[in-house]
Amino acid sequence: MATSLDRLPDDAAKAVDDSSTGGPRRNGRRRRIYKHVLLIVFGFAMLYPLLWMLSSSVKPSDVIFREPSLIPSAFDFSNYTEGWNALARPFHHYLFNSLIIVVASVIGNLITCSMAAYAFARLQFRGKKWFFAAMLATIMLPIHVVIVPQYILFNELDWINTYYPLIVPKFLATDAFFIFLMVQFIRGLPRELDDAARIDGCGHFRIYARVIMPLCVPALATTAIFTFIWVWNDFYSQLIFLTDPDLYTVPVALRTFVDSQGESAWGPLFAMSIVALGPIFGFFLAGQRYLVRGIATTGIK
Amino acid sequence: MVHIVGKGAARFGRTATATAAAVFLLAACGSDDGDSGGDEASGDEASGDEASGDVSIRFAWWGNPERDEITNQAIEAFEAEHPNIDVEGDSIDFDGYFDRLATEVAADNAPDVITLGGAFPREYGERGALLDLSEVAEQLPTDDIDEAALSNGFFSDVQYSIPTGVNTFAMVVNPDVFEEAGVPLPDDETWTWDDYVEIAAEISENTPDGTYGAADRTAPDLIDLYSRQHTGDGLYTEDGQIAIAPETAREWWELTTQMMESGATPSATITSELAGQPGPEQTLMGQGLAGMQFDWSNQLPALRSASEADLQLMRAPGESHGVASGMWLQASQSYGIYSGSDHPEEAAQLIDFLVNTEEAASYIQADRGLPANSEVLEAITPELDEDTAAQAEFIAEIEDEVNPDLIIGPEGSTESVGIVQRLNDEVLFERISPEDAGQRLVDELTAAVS
Amino acid sequence: MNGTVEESTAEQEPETSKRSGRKGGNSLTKREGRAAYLFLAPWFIGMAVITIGPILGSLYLSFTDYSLLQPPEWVGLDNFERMLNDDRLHSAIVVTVTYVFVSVPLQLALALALAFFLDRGVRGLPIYRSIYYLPSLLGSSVAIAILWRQIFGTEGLINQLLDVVGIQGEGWVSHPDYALSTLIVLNVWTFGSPMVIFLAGLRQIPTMYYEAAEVDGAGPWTRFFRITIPLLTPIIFFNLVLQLIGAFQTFTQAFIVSGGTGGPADSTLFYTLYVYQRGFGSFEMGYASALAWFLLVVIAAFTAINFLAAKRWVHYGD
Repeated sequence: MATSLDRLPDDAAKAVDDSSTGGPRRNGRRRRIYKHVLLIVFGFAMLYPLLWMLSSSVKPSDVIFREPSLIPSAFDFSNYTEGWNALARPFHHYLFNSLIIVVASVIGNLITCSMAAYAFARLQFRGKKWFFAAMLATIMLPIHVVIVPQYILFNELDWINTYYPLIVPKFLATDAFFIFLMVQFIRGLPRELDDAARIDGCGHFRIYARVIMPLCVPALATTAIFTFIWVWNDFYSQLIFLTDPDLYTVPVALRTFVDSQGESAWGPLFAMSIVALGPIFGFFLAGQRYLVRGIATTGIK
Repeated sequence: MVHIVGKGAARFGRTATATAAAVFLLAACGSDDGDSGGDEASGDEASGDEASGDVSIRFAWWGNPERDEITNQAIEAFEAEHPNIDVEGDSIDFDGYFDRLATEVAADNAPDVITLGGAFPREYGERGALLDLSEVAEQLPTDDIDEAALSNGFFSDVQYSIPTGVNTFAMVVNPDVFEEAGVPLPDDETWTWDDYVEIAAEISENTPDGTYGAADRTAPDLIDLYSRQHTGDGLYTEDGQIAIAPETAREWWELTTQMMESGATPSATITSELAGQPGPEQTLMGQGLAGMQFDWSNQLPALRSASEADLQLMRAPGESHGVASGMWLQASQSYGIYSGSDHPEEAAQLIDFLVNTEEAASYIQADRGLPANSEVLEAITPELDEDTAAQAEFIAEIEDEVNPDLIIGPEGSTESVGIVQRLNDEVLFERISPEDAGQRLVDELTAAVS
Repeated sequence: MNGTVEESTAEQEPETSKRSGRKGGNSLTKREGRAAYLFLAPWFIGMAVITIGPILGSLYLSFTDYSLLQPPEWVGLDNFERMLNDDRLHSAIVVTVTYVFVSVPLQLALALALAFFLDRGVRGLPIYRSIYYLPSLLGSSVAIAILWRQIFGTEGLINQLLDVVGIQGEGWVSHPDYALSTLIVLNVWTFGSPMVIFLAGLRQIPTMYYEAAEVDGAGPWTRFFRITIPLLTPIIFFNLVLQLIGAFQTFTQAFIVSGGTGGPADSTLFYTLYVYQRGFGSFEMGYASALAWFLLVVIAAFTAINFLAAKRWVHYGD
């Protein structure tokens, strides 16, 4: 494993050479097969836990812990129907709630984080360094000591039991992670592009919207994908700010399957966990092709 | 969805003008009395909910989907009886419940009816978060409620909470495992700790690998029981000090290490692994892999269904040989009213309905322990399923002999669970001696409650 | 060929000054400043209304005795003094520092290697990429705790495999000597996020550099070390900074796998887990806030060092 990883760059470059020179040579083909075998073995190790979860989701609850085998002795899809209807509302209700928050968050982050990133990456202004440092500092405090003050604040605003505490911050560029990410991407773009646009008479807004953003598609895709996944999985703030079961989102709803004081519904939990993975995996699949639409492939040279 | 545009939007204009957040925050944090701040917010809420009732109260609990379902049925029945009261039920899992509750109390936005358990009524009550229930005695009579269970919510001369049901910490045995090992079931009225150790070792020896005589369930409750049998004192004194002597805890850990070494209980890694898995179906008993396991009596149905064995409840060893009885009856859960509630009377009516009426019990049954109200218990007894009936029988049997002085831990004592588990790991992995563990238990508990 | 990269970075500073100087300076700089504040307007509002309040609130609380249930009481520096003699805190620091310095480099190295490997020239790329990313989707699912026991438990997969070769394995998750290692593995296992960022970064490298290099006759190794790595440094730097910040604050995985205890015997008691236990478990939010602010100072110091060091190795295109 280790040795083959060391040789990665070489191999990868060879692969490019092979395909560019055309005709697959015998040696190259064998090497490629090795590579795929390696990738598949490694992929299985990555996937094993998920496969286990998938297999558990079709086992009856009481068998899950007694029968560790990956291949279920009998298929039983009742966990899915049961899990879907076990809670106060059918499960799609929670999927829908999560979707509202997630879609709004993605839009908010894409717009406001990219704007802030453009300012930090390309513009000169007083206090830039300090603001940048302050921005990074906001992600250095553990959430557990700010959640209570946050709750007090949102309670004063009368936002508890609404989606505002989860959505509004995203429209106010509070996710420093993505600002910093886009700053790094924008700084990687050649300055000549802006200068050329400026000479053509473009203002900052046009440079941002017409020049920089189109070249940042991979960074925007990363932001969208990560926002989607992280917000979808964000248990803690959704737990604290939403107490009305009708407003519950997927991670909070999943938690109600477990009861450390009594019997937990493991089968339905695994089944619904699989269901909950669907939208995020789907979004990743749909988004990942934009990850690779960088400057390298857009023809700017 | 509706709520986004509904409740929040109406006030968005007002709040958008909110100036510096810090001002809000510090004002809220600094407000001196927990009772004053929230009136405005919850008052608004009540008037906004006029469609379904004149008064709206919130009721929060933890649990699994089945509990939610039967509780919601009981809530509907209550609302039908009191058309002017609208009850909003919040439920979540145990861990999430307490994080959320503490946050809500901090922001003075807690549910009107709060579910608590173990030492939490005292933890919350003595910090001023719970209403003195004598203020609502008219709406919430407690005459028919079991005295012992009621005392679980009574501290510093104030009744802070009402028990939902009665529970006891006892020995669960699996007759199938005993039979497989060819060991007869002990007589629980006379057996000693030595018997327990011996039987456990014998079972382990005569059953296949992976099946054990007993599970090591070292926890504050168990050490409390052991200590009361041996010295008459549990973990705490009435006035909130530490009562247990280091020697008693040392003896306990000598007993458990001896059992682990003889193979009567599993190895340290397995015990530690099991301690991290909370559900009854994940325990050795739930998996059908242990002959004996200490547990709460209300876990019997869950353990039975998980193990598919006819598990029995028994008295703890040594009950008839010690200085005093170690076992006790405890509220399985209890209901309190938030001290900042705007509608304490309606909240009291809801609790009264839940604990004192047959109608509520017909839905909830013994889900939160056997009803503590004797009349209600009598009324639902014929309806109980076999597993719950077995639990009821056991409690009726021991009711008169258990130790009546239960001392609930003081403020800070909810930390004891973590302390004991950590020390237990240290002892089982031979990082510290039972002697050091005993001393550290006393030291760390003292630090936690002071 | 390597001239292209290095020249442009060397030029960076003079170029910016030249530009503003050339175009007649002050009014332009002012206009640029105004534009910047406009672009940053949402961020400023968010900072003022949502972010700064709770942060200052927690700073205030760090000087108080605050049980959450009762109003806070000012105690001055007591909380910080208490940190000096808190044994569990000290063991939490050891656990966290060990974790940070082992798992961050491992995870980043793996992410970078696979990102490069998966970037070009392998058929079925999107499939591998998706598979490798999948574990990162699980996030804080409660199912993780169960899964992890199925793999590293006494009866878990690892021990079953070891059994085949005749080795009697330990209960890895529940043994104080090994539990932390399994969490490091868990973290490395979710290398998908930095990998995705690396992948996006690789696609940001203009192909013209490679073409120019090829014309100059540079081999694959030269191209990798002279073009790919230097041009990827902003992204490597980003991942390093953020993973470091994240690793210092590791909470969820330890919380879920140990059931919130940090056990066995505090061997997985991460700093933030301890903060959480103090704040919500023992109703000592004042002390928890003090702990958190100490952590902030430490993370900020590491980040500052990172930024200072970055001047020596990070190359920007601007």
